[in-house]
Order: sequence, then C-alpha cells, then structure tokens
Amino acid sequence: MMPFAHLALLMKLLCQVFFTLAVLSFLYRDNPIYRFAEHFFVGVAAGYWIVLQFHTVFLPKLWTPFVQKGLMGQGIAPEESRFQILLLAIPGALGLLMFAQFSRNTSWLARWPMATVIGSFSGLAIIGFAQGDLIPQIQANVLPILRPGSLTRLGAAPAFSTEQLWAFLDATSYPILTIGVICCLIYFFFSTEHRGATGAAAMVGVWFLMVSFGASYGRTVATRVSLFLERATFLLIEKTPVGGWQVRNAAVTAVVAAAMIVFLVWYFRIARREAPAETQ
Amino acid sequence: MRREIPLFLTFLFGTFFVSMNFLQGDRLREATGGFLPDQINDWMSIIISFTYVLGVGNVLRIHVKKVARRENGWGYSAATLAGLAAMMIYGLILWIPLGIAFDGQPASVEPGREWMTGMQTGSVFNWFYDAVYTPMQSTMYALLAFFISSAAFRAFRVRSFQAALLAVTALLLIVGGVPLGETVWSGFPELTSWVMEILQTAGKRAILIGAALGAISTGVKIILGVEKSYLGGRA
Amino acid sequence: MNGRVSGREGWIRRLEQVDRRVIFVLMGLAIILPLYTGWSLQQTPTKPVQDFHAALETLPPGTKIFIADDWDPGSKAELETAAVAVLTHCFRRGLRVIDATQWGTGAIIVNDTLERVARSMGKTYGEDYVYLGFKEGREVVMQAAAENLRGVYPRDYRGTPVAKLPILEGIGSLRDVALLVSVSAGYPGTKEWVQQVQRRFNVPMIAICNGVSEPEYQPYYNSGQLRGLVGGLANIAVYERLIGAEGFGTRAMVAQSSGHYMLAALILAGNLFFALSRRRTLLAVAIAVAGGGFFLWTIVRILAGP
Repeated sequence: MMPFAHLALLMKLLCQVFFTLAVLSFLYRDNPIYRFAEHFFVGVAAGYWIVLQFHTVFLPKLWTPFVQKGLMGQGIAPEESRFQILLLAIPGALGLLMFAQFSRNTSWLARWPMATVIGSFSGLAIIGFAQGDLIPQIQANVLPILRPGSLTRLGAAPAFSTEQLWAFLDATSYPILTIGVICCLIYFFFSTEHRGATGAAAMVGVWFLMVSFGASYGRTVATRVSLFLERATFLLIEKTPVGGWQVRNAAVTAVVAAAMIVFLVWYFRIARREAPAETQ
Repeated sequence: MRREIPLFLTFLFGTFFVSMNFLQGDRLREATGGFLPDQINDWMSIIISFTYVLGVGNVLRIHVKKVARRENGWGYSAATLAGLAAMMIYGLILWIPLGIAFDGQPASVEPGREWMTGMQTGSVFNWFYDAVYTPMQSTMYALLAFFISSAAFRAFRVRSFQAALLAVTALLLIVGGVPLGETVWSGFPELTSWVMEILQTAGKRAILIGAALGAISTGVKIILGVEKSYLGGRA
Repeated sequence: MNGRVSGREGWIRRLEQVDRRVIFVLMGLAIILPLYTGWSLQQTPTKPVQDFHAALETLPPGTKIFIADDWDPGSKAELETAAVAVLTHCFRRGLRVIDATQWGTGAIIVNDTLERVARSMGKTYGEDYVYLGFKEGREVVMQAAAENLRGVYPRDYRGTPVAKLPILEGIGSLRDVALLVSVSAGYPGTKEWVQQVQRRFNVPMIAICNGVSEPEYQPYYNSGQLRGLVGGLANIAVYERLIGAEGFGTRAMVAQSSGHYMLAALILAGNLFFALSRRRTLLAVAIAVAGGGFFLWTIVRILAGP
C-alpha cells in the first residue's frame, strides 16, 4: 500500500490538475465544474486569510502579549511596560468596533477604526508621494538640453547606420523627456482651456500618454502570455516526483481532462433536453 | 460627536505618521519607553487584520443564508462553506491540542504531527494552499492571456492618430520585447529599451507627478477633515 | 443594415465576428506547440538588466541584503522564476539573505521557494538566510521595518526569536542592509518601497517585477531611485543567462515569442478586417503590406538561422 505521504503528494497533483483544468474550462463556456472550483476557491481563500491573520497578527501581537504579559503579568522584559501592553486593549476594541456596522443603531461606531486606518494611510501617502514621487521625479527631469557626449557620438557615427540611429535617439533623449513631461502636465492642467499654444502642448502631451499606454499594453501582453505559459508547462511538460517515481503531469492531465469532457458532454446534453427553451 | 471623534482620530493618526518623517525614531522610542512609534505600528496591524475577519464574516453570512434557504445554486455555496471550514479546522482548531505556547507559536511539534499545524511546512493547511489556492489563483490570471487575445482581435481598432501611436508602440514592444524580435532584427532590444526608458517614461513620469500632487492634496484634505466622504452618510 | 450583404462583405464580417473560442484555440496552440520543440532563443541584455545584475555581482561575499518577495501564486510564472534567479545569484555570491513578504497570499509560496533554492545550494537557515514571513500593514510595516526591523518581526516565520538568529546580528533596521531587492507583483511592492523606504532612509534598491509593472517603475530607474530594473519574463530570462542559471524563463522564451507574435498577428488581422469592412482601402493595404511583410521577414530570418 502506498505510504500516506506519497498518497498526499499524488492527491495534491490530482487536485492541482483538476482545479487548473476547471478554470480553463471556462474558456469553452460557463459550466458546473468551473462554478464548483470557483466557489470552493472562495471558501479556501477566505479561510486562508483568517488563519494567516490569526498566526501572524492576532496571536503574537494582540492575544499573547495582552493576556500573558498584560493581564497575567508574566514574562515582561525589563524594557517593556505592562501599562503599554495593556493599552493593546485599544486596537483590540477598535477592531471589534468594526462589527458594529451590522446593527443600524451602532453602525456609527464602525467609523472609528476606519478613521484610524484612513488617517494613517493618508499620512503615509503624503510623505511617500512627496519624497518618493514628486520631488525625485521633478529633480530627475531637470536636465540639460542634450545628454553630455551625445552630439559627439552622433557626429562620429557612420551615416545611415544603426549606430547613427542609436546616437540620434540618445541625443534626443533629454529633449524628449523634458518636452514630454511638460506637455503631459499641461494636458493634466484643466484650469485653463486647451486652446492655442496650450492646446497644442496638450495635444503633444496626449501623444506621449498614448505611447506610454501602448508600452503598458505591450508589457501587459507579455505578463498574460507568460501566465498561461506556466500553466501549460505545468499541465503538459513537467513531471512531479512521487516517492521514487516521476509522474508525468501530462498523463494526469489527459485522464482528468477526459473525465471532465465526458461529464460536460453529459451535462450539456441533459441540460438541453430538460430546458429546451433556455437561451444559449 | 458621531462625526467629530472619527475626524479627530483621522487627524491624530494622520499627523502622527506625517510627523514620523521629521522625528528621529530612536529618540522618540527612548523618550516614550518604546511606545512610539513601534506600538502605534502594531496597533495599525491589529486594526487592519480585523477587516479580514469582517470580510470573511460577510462571505459566511451570504453563503449560509443561501444554503439554509436552499436558494438557486445553494450547492455551490455549500462548496464555499466546505472550503472555509477545511481551512479553519486545519489552520486554527486542530492546532490547539498541540499546545499554545505563550510566545504565540505552537509548542515544538512531534515528528509525524506536522500535519496538524497551521502554516508550518508539512501541514494539511499548506496542502490545501498548494493543491487548491495556488493552481486556482495562477490559472485565473492565466485566463487573461486568452481574453486579451480576443479583445486584441475584436476591439483593438486604430481609428485615430492617437490610437495609431498606441498601437505602434504596443506592437513594437510585443514583437521586439522577446528574443524572437532580436532574431528578426538585431536592433530591437536597443530600440525597445529606448522606448521604455525614454519615450514612455515621459508620460509615466508626468502621471507620477500628477498622481503625487493629487494624493498629497487628498491626504491633507482627509487629515484636516475637509474631505469627509469616507465617513459615509448621515450619522 | 438593409438588404442582402454581398459575398465579400459577408465573409469579412464573418471573419471580424469569428467565435472568440477560435481565437482562444489559436492562442493556446501558439503557446503550447513550441513547448515541445526544445529550441532556445537568446536576447541581448539591456542596461537596466545589466545594472540589476551588477548591483548584486559587486557586493562582497557575506554582505547582508533584504529581499522583499512581494508576490503570490497569481504572478507565479514570472516572479517565482525571478525569485529563484535572484536567490541563486545571491547564494552563489555568498550573500546573506533576509527575506520577507508584504503579500499575505504569498507567505507560503515565498517560503517554499526560498527553502527549495537554499536547500539545493546547501545553505544554512539562520546563518545564510532567514524568512521573516508576513506582517499585515503594508506601508505601515515597510516604514516601520526601515526604522526598527526587529520591532516589526520579533520572530521569524518559524517562530524563532530573531535575537537568536546569527544572520540578524547587527541588523536593527533596513538601513543596516547593503541592498534592498524588491521582487514585486504590484501593490504593495516596489513603488511603496521606493516611497516609504528608499528615499527616506537612503537604502540602495533594485527591483525585479512582472511585465505589467515594469513601465510604471521605469521612471524610478531613470531617476536613479532604482539602481537596476528587470521587468517581464523575457528580461528575467536574460538575467538567468547572465548569472548562468537557466531556468523556466530561458526555457519559455520560444513559446513566449510565439504567443507574442500570434497576438500581434491578431491585432493586425482585426484591424485589417475592420479596414476592409469600412472600405478604407488605403489603411487595409498599409496593414496588409506592413504586417504581411514583417511576418514574411520573420519566417525568412527564422529559416536563415543565427
């Protein structure tokens, strides 16, 4: 009989293949296998978050210090203050106040914890965006007209060669950055009507924005393709070690896919027979 | 008072985190006996973690109601509840008999009983994560490869000069941003690199600057209580 | 639409409105079939990738670095590959790795990846690497860790007090590490580390991210806030070759390229049918000539070989 650990590995592989194919079956059409997998996933994900918060925050940061050190006075280090530990009742209470929203009479109390979180993140955002984005990005765009050495490089490059092309692009880098950023910012400035010179600059700004959106689209495509590529590799190419064997994932995929196809053919034929008026 | 106290809390915590940029953490720690800033950081972690409990509570409420009333699709709701129960049993409940150590971690685990622990290597909880969560989440995102291809064929239409700019840049990065692009033309890596580093950075930088200005002004308005929409309707 | 549609217009419209499942099959085949070829493709490293590599390569052995593994199974394709490559590079260089994640859903997979790579390279937990795990709070945790790492993580993921871990000797905050490596799938990730930690605490930083995020982080590389940037599986494959540890990224490049070219063909085909159906002859000819010519040239170059 297969050792339990090996059985668990095999079951895990089966589940991984099943759930992967279940989600991919949605590409054909919405079906009960997909719906089951989706709903089961929601439950697993919700349970995961609860357990995660319990082990990483609730127990080590609230319950254990408050109960053991705060209430029972045990294991308090010399540099720790029992009073400060007892103050953990405040975030605990604020957290529990979130559940006040379920009653109409007490729902106003749920604003208190929300307010602390929103205030905290607003404060962090002010500092983060100011010193991380605003100032450094403006500083980085205060540039000379031409990159030092770029004109020399352009002059030295052989005519009509790719080297000349790169040298030209290099030479235009700084002007493009400067003009591009300024024109885009002019486009974002809606307090003035976009007419005349302002309108022309705003239009150039839109062109730069279109280029940046195109770049985002191009890179998004890359990510999406690689995501399916990994799943395809897992289903069809990889092998999973189980005990001393190397189980071909493709074989498991074939078996599970065949079972799914049989089920779906049966399901859609029965469903069509029992609900002939149902629109497809 | 129903609005004043939340507004005061927003001001208090917002100002605290802004001021932390200007104060030396070590000196503050020394002056307050470790209360500031470490305790406040922990308080935030604790309060935020309760929001997840709220979310799960909502999931429970919806699906339990569906199952209890045998509404349409109640079988799927039962699957949701089964998944939730499995994770919580193996992550929270089965772990208790191992003993709760006062440092918040399970007592040392006897060999062969790792399966009972939540989030430790070899646990059933981790098994569910590997068997269900990982393939589901990665495949959900993998579907996007197909939807983006369908959208590219059916909806990506070049109807104007601006759209053409977007399309040309996208196509350049799609065909030039992979190794096959270099096989087609050896200049693709350099060209795509220049487009990424210079041409598209101009637009992204402007967006960063604009977004930063917006975020700063919104943050100031929230902290000062000018922006109150997050409090919801009338008290 | 009045009257009968002519034959030519009919088939153009039919092609324009082809069942999306046909497109799914085309895309699927374009990605799956090359997996069986065993071919490989190389790409020249670009400057951001070279800078990323150099930032780790120039650190002396024994240097402690902090890796922020901010990803989860949803980005497994790119960022598990990236994490394996970065960890392999670090361990080969003899760097000591302090690892943590801001993504709750990634806590387990990040640990598994770290353990797998570390064990395969014979590294010792607590001496050569440590996993601090996940703490809720996002930007709050980031700036808190930059100020007081031990306050945020009094214990590691396994429950060991950090005071007992040799790797964390002399590390009180992120200012004490030589480099912050952000492996980022989105929010919270590289942007938040730059905003909350890099500038404020003057921590040298590099980033490796998924393709979607790369354009967003380019301004940070351009401004010098990031000393190196690797974005997307293609660049991750380039990085793998630079460190001599070819993994999934390298193996995937033929299929990745094929998928990209199929998508480019779909964009062009869609616009060609659109132009034909709207009788925009000039546009249709331009698309057909440019697109057809490009793909023909691609086939010529593939057949011609390197």
